[in-house]
Parts: sequence; C-alpha cells; structure tokens
Amino acid sequence: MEETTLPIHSWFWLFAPMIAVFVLSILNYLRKRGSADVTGFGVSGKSASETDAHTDAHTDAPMEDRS
Amino acid sequence: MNTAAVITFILYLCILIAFGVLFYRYSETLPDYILGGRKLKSGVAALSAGASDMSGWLLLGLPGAVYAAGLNQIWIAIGLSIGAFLNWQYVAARLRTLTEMTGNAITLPDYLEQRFEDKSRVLRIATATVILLFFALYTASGLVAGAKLFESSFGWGYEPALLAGAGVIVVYTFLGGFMAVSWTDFFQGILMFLALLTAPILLIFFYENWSTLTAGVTGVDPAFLNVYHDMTLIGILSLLAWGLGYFGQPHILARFMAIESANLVPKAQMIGIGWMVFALFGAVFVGFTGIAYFAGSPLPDPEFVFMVMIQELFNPWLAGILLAAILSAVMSTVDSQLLVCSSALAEDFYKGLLRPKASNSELVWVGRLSVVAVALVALVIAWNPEAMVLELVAWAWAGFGASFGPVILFSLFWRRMSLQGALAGVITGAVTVLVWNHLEGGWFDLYEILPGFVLSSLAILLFSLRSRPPSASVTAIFDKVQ
Repeated sequence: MEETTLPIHSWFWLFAPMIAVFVLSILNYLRKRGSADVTGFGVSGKSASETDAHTDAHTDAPMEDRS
Repeated sequence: MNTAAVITFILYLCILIAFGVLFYRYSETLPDYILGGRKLKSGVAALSAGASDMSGWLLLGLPGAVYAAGLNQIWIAIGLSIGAFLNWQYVAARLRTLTEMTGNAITLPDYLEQRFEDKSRVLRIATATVILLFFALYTASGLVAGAKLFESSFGWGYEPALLAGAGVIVVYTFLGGFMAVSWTDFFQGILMFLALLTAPILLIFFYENWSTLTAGVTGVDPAFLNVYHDMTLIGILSLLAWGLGYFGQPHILARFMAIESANLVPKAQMIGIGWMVFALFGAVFVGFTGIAYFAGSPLPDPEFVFMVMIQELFNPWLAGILLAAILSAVMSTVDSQLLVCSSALAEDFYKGLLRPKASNSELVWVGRLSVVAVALVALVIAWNPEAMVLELVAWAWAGFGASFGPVILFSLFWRRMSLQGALAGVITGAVTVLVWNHLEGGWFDLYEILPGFVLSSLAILLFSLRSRPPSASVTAIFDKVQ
C-alpha cells in the first residue's frame, strides 16, 4: 500500500542514518580532541616526520628534498 | 541569462584563476605541486574532499533523480554518508601516517610500491595505468557536464562552452597545483553548501507550510513518498554499495595524505561529514520540492530541476551565485582528477621510471605539462556531446572502489598482506567490474562494485596467505604504526 502523506517528523527517520554518522563524527572529535591516538588503532597523532619511529633515512628526508 | 547573473558568474571564474596565481609560488617541488607539501588544514581538507567527491551529481544528478522517481533515491545518499564516514574514521589518519613513513609516498602507486617493497615496479605501473585510464574518462565526463551547463546558462555552442570550462580549470590547476585545487574546492564546497541550504529555506517560505508541499507531491504521485516504491533488494543494495567506493578514490585519498597532521583528522571528519549530510539533505529536498513545483509542466530533463528553480525563484544576483555553485560542483571534481593524473605521469612514470634524479623544477614543470596533456586527451574524448562518457562515471567509481579500495584497506590493517596479494586484489577488482558490467539479469543487475569489492578482498586474502610472508623490513614499517 502506498503512503499518501509524509509527516514532517518522517524526514527525521529518513535521514536518521545520515544524522547518526554526523553525531558519531562529533562525538569522535570530542573524544579524540587532545588525544595522541587519533585513530583508536595506535597511530600517533603526530605527523610521521615528528615521531621517534621515523628513523629510516629515506623517510627522514624533508619533502622538499625528496627529489 | 540576465546581466546580473552573468557578471556574478564571470566574477566567480576570475576568483578561481586568482587562486591559481596566488598559489603559483608555493609549488616549488613536486610534493608541493601534487600534495601541497602536506600542509592542508582540517577545514580545507574536509571541504575539498567533499567537493571533489560529489561532482555535478550533488546539484544535478541527485535532485534530478528524486524529482523523477521520488524518495526511493535516498538509499544512495545513505550509502554514501556511511561510506564517507568509515573512510574518514578508519582510513584517513592511518593512510596519512603510513604514506609518510613509506618513503614519503606522494601518490597511491608510490605508497603501494614502497609499502610492499616492490622492486619489479609492476604494482606502480599497474596502479598508475588504472588511474590514468579511468580518470581520463572520468575527467571527460566532468567536462561534458560542465560544457552542458555553460551551454544552457549562457546559450553558447557546445564546443566553445567545453573550451571555456576546461580552459579555466586548466589555468588554475596548471599554475597553483594541489593548493590551488584544494582552496578552490574549499571555496566551491562553501558555495555548494550555501546553495543547498538556501534553496530549501526559500522553498519552504514559498510553500508557506509543509502540508501544502507534501500535498503537492502526493497530487503528482503518492508513490513518490515511499522509499521502498519500485525498489528490489538488489536495487537497494546497489545504491547502498556506492559507499564502498570511497576507500579507493585517489582524488579523495589524496586529501587524507595531504592533511598537515593525523591530529587534524577528527576535526576534518566532523566538518566533512557535517557538510555532506546537510548538502545531501538539501539536494534531496530540492528534488522533492521540484515534484510539486513543476507538477503542471514537467521538466524534459530532470537533472535541470535545481537550475530551473533557481532561475525562476531567486533574485538574479543570487541566481548567479547559485549557478556558479552548480558549475563549482563539476569543476571541483575535474580539477582534482586532472591533478591525480598529472601526479601519476610526473611522479609514477617520469620520476619513478624515467628520471629518478630529475630536479625539483623539472618535475614541477612535468607535472604542469601533464595537467595540460591530460586535459587535452579529456577534451578529445568529450568533444562529441553525444558520447556516452556520462554513463562511465558509475563504472569508473566502481572500478576505483573495487580495485583500489580493498587493497588500501588491507594494506593499512593487515600485517600479513603480501605484494602478490596486492597485485591480485587490484587485478581481480578491476576485472570483476569490467566483466560484471556486461552481465544482465537477476543478481547480475547488482552494482558491480559490490562483487568487485568482495572478490578483490578474497583474492588479497588467498594470494597473501599462499605467498611467502612479507619481509622483516616490510612488516617493520607496519609495526611502527601499531
């Protein structure tokens, strides 16, 4: 049976999955703000060139020196 | 088109070229030219990723689809939102870190080669070739869409419109490289967002209340309100599966690689997803309102629903800005794709295979000339307006999503993945998309990205487990980010 009306609150349910990912993004930002582990998988929030692990001579080269 | 709209429009094009001139001096090395020296801030990374992702589909395709078929088209918006969210959540920071740790890789082929220490160069050549092939067609489709917009807005012929649109994009991309492209995309993203926010607000005032609007839509066809109308399980899965494409789109992943620090990713994710959700809502709402607005005189081409509404409803100056926003949507994708092609030619082929010792200046100029060369190829493909290039967008999206998506994901998260697994994944994904596209009936009507993604993932697992484990130096880099 076809719908004949669309109450305005129905739009909320139509867009619920999209609203959910936006809310999750906000929560994720608030949770990770100031955290060193921004991905939750152990990746340092610093750029790779700032990390102690960055010991490879090739990767130590600043970007402008690569070529 | 009236004078006010023309002036606004020309002013907009001048601003884009000014971005190119402004960022000219910031492109001293190839990493500057094709990745902005990894200095993107969160807002620019977020909006430029969104704008370059969405293309004309956001302001033409989606409103047109909702106008023509009703709210059952919302499934694709849901699939894209979830895909973009997962891409930001799981890929962005990790890819940013790993690409810098794997020899400061500045392109995806460069990253994959160094991630698996591929001395044979096969992976680099294969992936760079796939990028050039798919993006030449993808860019051509963008140019066709842009030319048709110019044509209908200014009443020009198709060829002059094509040359004008391509000319402006090439000028600012040629001059300013990645930073010009990212900042113009950021500016274009704001325009698109404002257009899609303003239009629904003004349209609600036009209809005075919600009931009048839904009654108007119901009057045309009550089925337009039903999200399941005329949809099969295969149809819904196909639309949702578009979201899988995000993991393998080189022009979007380039924004992740270019962000200044992995620390900025959560903020960029929040801005990017917020932009996307509101923009998609606005696009769906415009199409929905169009059903009622044009009930008496249906449009011959549904994709022009937003454009026609703008010209009929809004002040000419505002209409000029909103029309510029539509062209923005197209241009922001074409410029990013041009630059990715340029990076494949300059970094992966020229520097990677021919001239490893080339100077910074030489490489930047090879990058610039590559932009012109790829634009010329795309122009030749797009010269015939009847060419079926527009239909290739879905195919190219699936091609990248299925051949690169699983490989990128596994390379970021699976320590045991081997070079053989990566090659098998790229080839299986690409071949599945090519073959599935030609099959019809039953489950073969499923959008090819889904079987391509699944089979590519299985190929990676199978070939990696059957080949020798990766060397200690390969796993060492991976372990550093654990």
